[in-house]
Amino acid sequence: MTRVTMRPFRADGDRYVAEVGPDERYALWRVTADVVEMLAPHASGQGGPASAAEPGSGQLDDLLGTAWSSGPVAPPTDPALRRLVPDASREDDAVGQEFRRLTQADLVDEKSERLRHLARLLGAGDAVVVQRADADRFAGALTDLRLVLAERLGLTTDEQVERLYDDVVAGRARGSDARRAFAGVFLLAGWLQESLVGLMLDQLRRGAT
Amino acid sequence: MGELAEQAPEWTTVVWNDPVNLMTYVSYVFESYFGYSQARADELMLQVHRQGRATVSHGSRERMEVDVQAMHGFGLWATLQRSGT
Repeated sequence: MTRVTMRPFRADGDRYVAEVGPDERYALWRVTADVVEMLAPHASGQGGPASAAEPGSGQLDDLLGTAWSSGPVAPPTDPALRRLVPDASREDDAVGQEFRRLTQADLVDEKSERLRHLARLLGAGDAVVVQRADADRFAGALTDLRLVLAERLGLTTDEQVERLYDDVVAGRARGSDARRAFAGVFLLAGWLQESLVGLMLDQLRRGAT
Repeated sequence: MGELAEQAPEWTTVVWNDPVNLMTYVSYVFESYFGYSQARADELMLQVHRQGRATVSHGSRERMEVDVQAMHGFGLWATLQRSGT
C-alpha cells in the first residue's frame, strides 16, 4: 500500500488539492469509468429500452430525440444505477413515472458528465486539483461512486457501513478480491469527500457571514 | 391563474436516510441549495439521520419537482408527496 502519499484535500487559493497515490487513483478511475459505461444507455439521445420498444414512437420522436418523446421512460434495471435516479414517489407510481419521464435523461447526462470530469482529474497526476467552482460536481461524482459501490457491496444500513470501515481499517476485510477492492474504493472515496466537503462548508459559511 | 395556484394542493419534498451520504455532505446540500442557516440545515440533517426522513421544502408540485431533481443530482434520495401524507 502507498498510504504514505495520501493527503486529504486542503484549500489552496481558488482550488482544493489532495494527494492520491497512483494505485489508489487507478482504483478510483477504474470504478468511475465503469459507472460512466453503465450510465451510457440511459443518457439522452440513446433511447432507453422502453422508448426503443415503444410502438407509438414514430419518426418525429426519432428526429426530435427522446427528450421530446411522450412515452414512458423505464428506470434502470440495475439496482445500483437505479439508486442514482431513484423513484421520486413512494406512494404514487404515476407521480414517479412522470418525474422520471421529465428528468431521468437530464440527470443521467449530468452525472455522466461530472464522472468523466472526475476521471480526467484522476488521470492528471498524484495531485488531485479541484477548482472551487467545480467542487459541487466533484463531490457529487464521489457520492455517485459510493452509492453504486454500496449497492454492489450490499450495504443498506449505517451499521453495515461502520462495520466495513472497522474491518478495512483493522486489515480484516472479508470476501473476494473484487469485494475487498470495492470496499477499499468506497472508503477512499468517502475519505476524499469528507475532507473536501469540510472545506466547502467552511467556504460556504464564510461567504454567508 | 393566481386563484387556481392558491387552490392547488401543496406538495412537499422529503429526503430519506441512506447509509452512504456523509452527514457533513447532507448539511452542505441543505445549506448551499436551500440557503438554510447552519442551525436549520443541521437540524434537518439530524432528523434524516435519526428519524429516517425529513421534509425539507414545500410548495407547488412543479417547484417540488425542481427540488427533488436537485436532490437526486446531489445523490440524496428525495421524493415528492402531497402535504399531509
